Amino acid sequence: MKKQVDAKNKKFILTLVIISVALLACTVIPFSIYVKHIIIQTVFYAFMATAWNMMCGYTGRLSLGHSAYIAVGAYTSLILYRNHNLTPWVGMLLGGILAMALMFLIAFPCFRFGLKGPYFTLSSIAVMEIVRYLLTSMRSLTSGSLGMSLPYHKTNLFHFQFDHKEPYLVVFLIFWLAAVILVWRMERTRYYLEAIREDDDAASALGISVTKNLIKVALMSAFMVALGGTFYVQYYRYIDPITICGPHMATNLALITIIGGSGTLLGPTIGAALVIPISEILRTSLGDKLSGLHLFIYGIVLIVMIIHMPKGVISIPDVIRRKRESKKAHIETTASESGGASNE
Amino acid sequence: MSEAILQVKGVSKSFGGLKATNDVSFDLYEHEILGIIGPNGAGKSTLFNLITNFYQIDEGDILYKGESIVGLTPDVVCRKGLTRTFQVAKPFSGLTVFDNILVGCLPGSATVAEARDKVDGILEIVKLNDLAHEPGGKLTTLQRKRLELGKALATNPDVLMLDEVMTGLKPHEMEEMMGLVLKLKETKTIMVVEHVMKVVMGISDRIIVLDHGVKIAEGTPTEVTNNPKVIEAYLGRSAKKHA
Repeated sequence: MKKQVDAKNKKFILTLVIISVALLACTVIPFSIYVKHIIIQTVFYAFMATAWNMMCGYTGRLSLGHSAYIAVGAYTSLILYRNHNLTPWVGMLLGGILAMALMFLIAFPCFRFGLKGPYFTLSSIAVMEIVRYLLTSMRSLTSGSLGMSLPYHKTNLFHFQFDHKEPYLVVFLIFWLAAVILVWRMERTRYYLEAIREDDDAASALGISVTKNLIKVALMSAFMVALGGTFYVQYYRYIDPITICGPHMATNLALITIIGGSGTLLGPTIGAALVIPISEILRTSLGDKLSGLHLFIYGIVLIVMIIHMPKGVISIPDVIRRKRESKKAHIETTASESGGASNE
Repeated sequence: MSEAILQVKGVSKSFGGLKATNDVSFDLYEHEILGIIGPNGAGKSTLFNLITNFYQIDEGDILYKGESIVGLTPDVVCRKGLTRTFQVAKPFSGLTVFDNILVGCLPGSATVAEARDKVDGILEIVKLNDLAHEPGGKLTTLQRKRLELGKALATNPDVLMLDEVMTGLKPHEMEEMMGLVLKLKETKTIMVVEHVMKVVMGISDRIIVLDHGVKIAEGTPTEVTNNPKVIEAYLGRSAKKHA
């Protein structure tokens, strides 16, 4: 068993190294700006989905309102930067703390009283709606639905602004790596969360504190996506309530994770690597021909995926192996049966 | 007799107008097997839920090693050394049998590696070694019951509360399970809720009988079976019918 665990860990570290090296190589290869943009978005969403998965994938508490925390992070750091010239590097920590506070307000009552399934999902959506209405109505602070843009600076590490794409890729890569390693290192918590997902009564009967563990990962997840909110501002240089705090952003995180494989370490990353480039390509190649067609195709792909691969793309090797094994077993039993028949 | 490890004192619990448990008191002594019997709906499982704090009691007190455990959460009760199984086995279906047991070992272990080392021993006790890498959801009834017991053992409890671990098993499987429980008695204190009379009579040192939430008798298996109240409440009904 120990050997198996060691081998698994080695393989995992190797995978991370290969992905990181490949992405770093992308900064040197002279891709077009558009290709670089797709790669950066992919890494960004891989980070965000990893944060979402940490809470929702492992615990089965499906949040479709995570954009609330993204928005809190984005608006906090942007407002502090615009009004008080505070560097986004500090602003994003404050945004993260604020997002954690907001998450605590909702997670504590939800998890203390055992809200799950559609009830939890609905309350997560409600929080997102509330935050969006607040952002839209607090015009003096957020300029409402007009949105806010980031005051331009030349490349400047202090201001977290760069004229080229590559530094963003490096920053996002570092945070993605940190997030994945964090989830990987939380081995004990992952087991607890999986047990809670399967049956929370059985988990608590074995001495696992359900409420405490759920709140813990919810806070961590909120903090991480809030950091992502700041990344979004610094990279896109413009936010408005509906894009950063809307259902599209929130469901995107869920879909990426579910397609890649929820409740797994690298599922969200695989999901992002598939979904982001495909949706970008569909959008650019079909978006101008028949408006909405790309969303239609995107939807079909999703439905097919969820029906035929509920455990995500990451489960493909497992599925193939199991099929092969059952086929083998089938051949063996029919062989022994026919052998038995000839003996008679 | 050794000291009472668990004292249940005048415990009552109502669900709406129904008194599921009514002023029940008893002591549990170290290294004994206490059987709890009673007809359907007598409040046996409710009693387990009350002791482990899955339900909160309305009245009374529950002392574990002299300390009240009323108002704690089930996970704290478990970490104190009282672990229960569920009448309907609750395997973590998506996790392998190995990981099911591992989860039980984790709260009491300093590291995940330490917990991992404990798993094989428990798999051996409940005879699930061959199925270690099967998902918990794929097991048969007997295997599920064994896994349920294994998960409880993984928490290394002082008091083991078994809720119908024998029900639904074939006779020879039952014998096997009884042997296992008797062996566990050497190191643990055990409470069993059981429907199958043969089992309860066979393994219990003492028995308490519940009917409609009230304790109507307590004593050795022979004392209990000769108690007229018990015969009327439990055994008598079918006896009369047959007569």
